[in-house]
Amino acid sequence: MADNILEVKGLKKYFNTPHGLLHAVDDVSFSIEEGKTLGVVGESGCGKSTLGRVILRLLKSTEGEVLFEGEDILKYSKAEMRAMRKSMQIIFQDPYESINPRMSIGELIAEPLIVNKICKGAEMDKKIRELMDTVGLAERLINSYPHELDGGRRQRIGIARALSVSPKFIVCDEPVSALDVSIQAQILNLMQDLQKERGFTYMFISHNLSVVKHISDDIMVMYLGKMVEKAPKNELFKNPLHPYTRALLEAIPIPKLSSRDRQREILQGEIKSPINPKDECRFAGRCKYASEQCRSGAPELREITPGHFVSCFCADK
Amino acid sequence: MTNKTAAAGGTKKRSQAQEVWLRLRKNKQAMVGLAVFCLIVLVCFSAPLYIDYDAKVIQQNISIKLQGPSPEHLLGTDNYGRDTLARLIYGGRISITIGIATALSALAVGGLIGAVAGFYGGKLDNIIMRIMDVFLGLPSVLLAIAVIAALGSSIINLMIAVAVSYVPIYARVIRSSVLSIRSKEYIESARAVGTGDFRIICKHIIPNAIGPLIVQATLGVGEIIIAAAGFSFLGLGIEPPLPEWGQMLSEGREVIRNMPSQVIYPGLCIMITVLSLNLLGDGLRDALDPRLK
Repeated sequence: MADNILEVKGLKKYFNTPHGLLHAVDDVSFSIEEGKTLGVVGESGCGKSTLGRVILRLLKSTEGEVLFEGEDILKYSKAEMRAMRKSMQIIFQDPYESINPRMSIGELIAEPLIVNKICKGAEMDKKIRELMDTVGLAERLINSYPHELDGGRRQRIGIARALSVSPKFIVCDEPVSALDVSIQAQILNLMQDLQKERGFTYMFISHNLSVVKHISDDIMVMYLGKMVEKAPKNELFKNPLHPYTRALLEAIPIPKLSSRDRQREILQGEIKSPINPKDECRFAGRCKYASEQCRSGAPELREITPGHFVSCFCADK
Repeated sequence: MTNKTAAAGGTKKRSQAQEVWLRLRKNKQAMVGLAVFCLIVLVCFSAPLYIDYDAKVIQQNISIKLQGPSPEHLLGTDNYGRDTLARLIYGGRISITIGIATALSALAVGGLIGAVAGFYGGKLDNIIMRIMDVFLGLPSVLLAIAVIAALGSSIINLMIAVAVSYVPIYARVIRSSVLSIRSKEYIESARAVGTGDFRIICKHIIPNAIGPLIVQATLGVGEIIIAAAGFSFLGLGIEPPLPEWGQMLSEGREVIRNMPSQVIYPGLCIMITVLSLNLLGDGLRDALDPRLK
């Protein structure tokens, strides 16, 4: 068993809002093995992106530890953290928003090389061209501006920027959800090829289950800031234990005529507000199995079978 | 590898200034504005080469007062027998200097204040902007009168007075554009690759905020020429016999019934200068945005 490259322990991120404390990420713990991909799924607003940003310290955490190769990076000083950023990178969701429209492709890819003092001059020029080649951008685009490119190419710029510092761990924050379906596949394949070649570890955030199933080794399901279930990919799809996971999987359409009249477990009710949540199972209000126990306290995360974690009182019933 | 690049016919590398100039050149209105403004500056600032300041601009000669156009005095003479054209040309030197110097200093101070408030946010932002609000709340004419009353009447003090009333306006404009840029994802993306505050401000925030900045500056020059003209019209700042467009307007007012040209000429000068700068400013704004090619 390979070593854990990243370990997150009891990570919390609360935002102060005029209405109270917003629990965006609430007591999340997990670990990722080196070279593996952890998929993070959940509906909009469940804290997936916040989790990714807190791990990279783009947002300040409220509580908890993030151990990267055994060291708690949340305790690092500003300078140490800047050096650390060479090892941990992020690919952003929206390639239309995440690159500066006033910099040319060459300048955009050069930025991480310059600020991390990796190389300069002719060597840098060569490195930029290599990176562009790696992510599949034609060399002639080096002096083009982002607005001249389509979404897929822009996302390739984002990937090139992340790759330029040769990181070990990359948070992919819905890297394909803003792209056309045809281009999604290209970008996903590119990311998988890169992982095979260079042994990256990914934390892949998405709300698209089929994308996550395609790319992940382990999958973690989040609901309202809480981690509700985490298991190896196949185990999760075969044997989902949390009612929310089950509902998510049921929601994947099956393109077969015979399954047209399939009975599906459709979620009822609205997602609750993450502001000042009550001390109960966050999912209790929408769960048809909810009992008194669920409403009197939040369930702990339990390991039901090796590698399969779930936080639900009725998981083993 | 270099051969391959050449064969692929990639776009050449150009600096941002070159790009902007290329785009600006395509804009006819902006080029007209630029040409007119350059012409005015050239004519006004080379005046000592071809006009005798003391004899034509300052020396009064009541015997030839309020004459119409003639070969010696192309635009006639004013109420004191001074050559109107010569005074207009020398007046431009003062008016344009006041306009540009005041706009630049107000922009520098206001820009810095606004950028700091926008970038750091929170309490600092609140304190700075409330102080600016106080300045905005005071009528600019009263403020100018107060400044000139306190410091004495001179061109420098007039410039300070006008600049003070423009600082909060620039601070607001720049704060709001910095504020919107600060929360953009590409700033976060720059932080994620390890970019420091200084480089983020210089490379990401300023280039993206510079559009409204330059437009404000060029429009500001025009506004400030008018404001300064207004103050000298009220007798604040420019002391006669110094020629200045606003001052000339004010003096021409006394003879507006018999010689309306005394008011029309300086008025036209102000109008043409402001118009040319506005055209240039509009063109620059478009040229600075790489998305509008």
